[in-house]
Amino acid sequence: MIITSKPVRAGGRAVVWGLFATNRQPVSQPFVDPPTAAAFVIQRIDVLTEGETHVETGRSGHKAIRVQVENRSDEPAVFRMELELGPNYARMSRELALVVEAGWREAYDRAITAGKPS
Amino acid sequence: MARGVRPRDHGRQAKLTLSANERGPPVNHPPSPLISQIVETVADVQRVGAKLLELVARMQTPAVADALERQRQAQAYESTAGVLRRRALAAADRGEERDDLQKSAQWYSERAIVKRAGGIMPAHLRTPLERLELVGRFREQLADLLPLAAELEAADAPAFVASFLDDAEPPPVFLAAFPPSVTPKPGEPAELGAVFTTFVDDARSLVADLGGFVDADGALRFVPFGISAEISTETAAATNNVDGAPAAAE
Repeated sequence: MIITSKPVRAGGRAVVWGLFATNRQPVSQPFVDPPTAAAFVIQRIDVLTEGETHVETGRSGHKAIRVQVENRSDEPAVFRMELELGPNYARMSRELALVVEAGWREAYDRAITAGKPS
Repeated sequence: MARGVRPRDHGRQAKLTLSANERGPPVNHPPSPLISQIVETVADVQRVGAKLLELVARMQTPAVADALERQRQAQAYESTAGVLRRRALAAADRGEERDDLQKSAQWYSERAIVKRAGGIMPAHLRTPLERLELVGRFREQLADLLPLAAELEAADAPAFVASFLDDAEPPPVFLAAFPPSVTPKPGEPAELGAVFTTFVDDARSLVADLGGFVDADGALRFVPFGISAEISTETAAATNNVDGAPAAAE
C-alpha cells in the first residue's frame, strides 16, 4: 500500500496514517522513494493494534501504521512511503469460494440445459 | 467371470427372505414410530430454520448492527490491552515505560467494559473524537427543543407550576439526578418565568455558537465537525478528515 501526506511545509512536521485490514501484516521494511528520502526525516513509526487504531482515528476494523515525519528541505514536500503487506487470506478464501460457486452454477446450468428435450 | 444377476433371482430372494409382515404396513396403516419421529424431527428443524431467519431479519436493524459493532470494538480493546500488558512484561527493566504501558492497558480494559455495556463513555476514557461526538449529540438534542420552546411564553412556566395538583416539593430523586451546577433553583413563579426565558434564549444562542443554522429553505442544519488526519488505505492513498461518523470496516 502507498501512504501519502498532504504537502508539508519546509521545516514542518506531519503524522501520516496507513490503514490496512486486521488480518494482514507488514512483511518488510517500509520503502520511501528518493525525493521523499531526500526531504523527510522519519522520526517515529508505530504499528497500531485494531483497538489503538480505532481510538486514534475513529476507524474500526483496521490496523494501522503511524508515521511521524519532519520535512527538513527548503520547500514544501509530499511524503510518500510504500508498505508491503502480506496476503489477505480471508479475502482470498472468499474470492476462491465465489469462483468455485460460479463454476458449479455454470456446470449445473449446462447440465440442465443439455437434459431438456429440444 | 461372475454371472450377472437376473431379475428372476431378485424375486426369488425376496420371497425367501421377507415374510408378509416384514414387507411394511399397508398404505392406510398408521405410520411406524420411527417415521413419526423423523417427521417430528424434520418439523423441528423447519421451526429452528424459521427462528434463525427471524433472528437474521432482526439483526438487520440499525440497533442490532450497532450493538454488534460495539461488541467487536470491545473485543479489539481487550486484545489491545493484552498486547500492552505483554509489552509491559517485556519492558520490566524500564520502570517508567512499564508503568505507562500498564496504565494504557488498564485504560483500554475500562473502555472495553463500557463498550460492552453500551453506555456513554466516561470523560476520563473518552477519545478526542468521542468528545466531539458528544458535543454534536448535545447540540442536536438541544436544537430539537428549540421549535417547542418557541411555542411557549414566559408566563406558561409559572402557570404550569401553579397547576401542580400536589403542593409537595419536587421529588428529591429528580433533583439528585442533576449535578449541582445545573440543578434548577426553586423560586417564585415570577422568577421562574425569567429563568425560563433566559434559558431558552441561552439555548438558542448556544446552538448557534455550536454550529447550528437555518438554511435558505428554513431547515435546521449543522456545520460538520471532525478531526483532521492524513489517512491512507489499502485501496486508495487518500487524505481526508475523520468526521463524526466513522467509516465502516471493510
